[in-house]
Amino acid sequence: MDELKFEPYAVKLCLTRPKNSQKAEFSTAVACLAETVAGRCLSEKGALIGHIKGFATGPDGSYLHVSVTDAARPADIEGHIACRPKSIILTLNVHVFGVSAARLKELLIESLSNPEVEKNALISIVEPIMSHRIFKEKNHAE
Amino acid sequence: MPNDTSNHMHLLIITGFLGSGKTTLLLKIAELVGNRGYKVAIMVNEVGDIGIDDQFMRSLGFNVWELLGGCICCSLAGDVTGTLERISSEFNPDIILLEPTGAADPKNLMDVLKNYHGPSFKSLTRVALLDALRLDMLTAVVGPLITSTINQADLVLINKADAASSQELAFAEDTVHQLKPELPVFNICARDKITPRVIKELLPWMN
Repeated sequence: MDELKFEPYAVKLCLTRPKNSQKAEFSTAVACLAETVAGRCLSEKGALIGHIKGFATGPDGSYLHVSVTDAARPADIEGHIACRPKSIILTLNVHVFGVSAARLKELLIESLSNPEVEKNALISIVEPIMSHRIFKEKNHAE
Repeated sequence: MPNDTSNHMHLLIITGFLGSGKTTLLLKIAELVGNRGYKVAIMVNEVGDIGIDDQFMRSLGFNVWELLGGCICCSLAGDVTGTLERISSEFNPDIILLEPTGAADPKNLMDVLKNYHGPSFKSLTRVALLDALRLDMLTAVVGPLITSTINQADLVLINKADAASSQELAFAEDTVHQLKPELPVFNICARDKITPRVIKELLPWMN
């Protein structure tokens, strides 16, 4: 890896429960999404996963936290949106070295169509907040 | 006992690469210290424009000051010293738990802290968290950052020890000892209960 480009990518996603799907679980959708994004990132030449993490809260104060650092391992899921709302907003941070923020967005969009994700939630981008700053500040990972 | 009114705080800095388990460990420590009656403030730095960890910490009821959209060792350097001073004057905690971004070089953070002019810290402990499962790979790819993380530590915790092989753990320990043979090193699983031995190293001042 000649230079470790680092463009943190942050996005807010709306997850909506599919109609007529009693078994749909947001936690499954979120875990699957994070794992899929990680897998796609690793397919990019020179990519190094730093951390892919997400957080959502339910209207009852319950929360859901997802964390992936290795595409070869399942996502860590903590918490559970207990009240089964129709939709939640998930904040997702994709911190991957060697892949531009624009490309991370493309990989995310590709990941949304994973059938296992769609089975558990219909997901749309609410608020793309892309950080185009190339992280080359002194003595950082490069 | 808790909340010394002399406005002197303990500062515990938890460093480590992205995904090494800093937040998980920090929350364990915050809960432990809070349950003993001490007043806890958390400072968290995320390079992205939206914070995840601060939301998570607040949902658990902690008092959090976040620094987003940059690194506290460079672009946000002024913010970190100012925030420390503000926490001291406005909140007066017994301890501040500081989690810099995992992309930050701890050496630069320590240089920034030389510009802190608030009340002196009662203690300053730097804990480095190493990801046992990825250290081999990370050493190869971001070696200077890992080296600096170890060199700037007072204590090293090798995390995810429950899932790591004996070879991975041995590699992690050897990596540390080659750089700083005298450094205390412990294997932990940040998700689990912190052992009394490790607590004593992290928080020697705590009753």
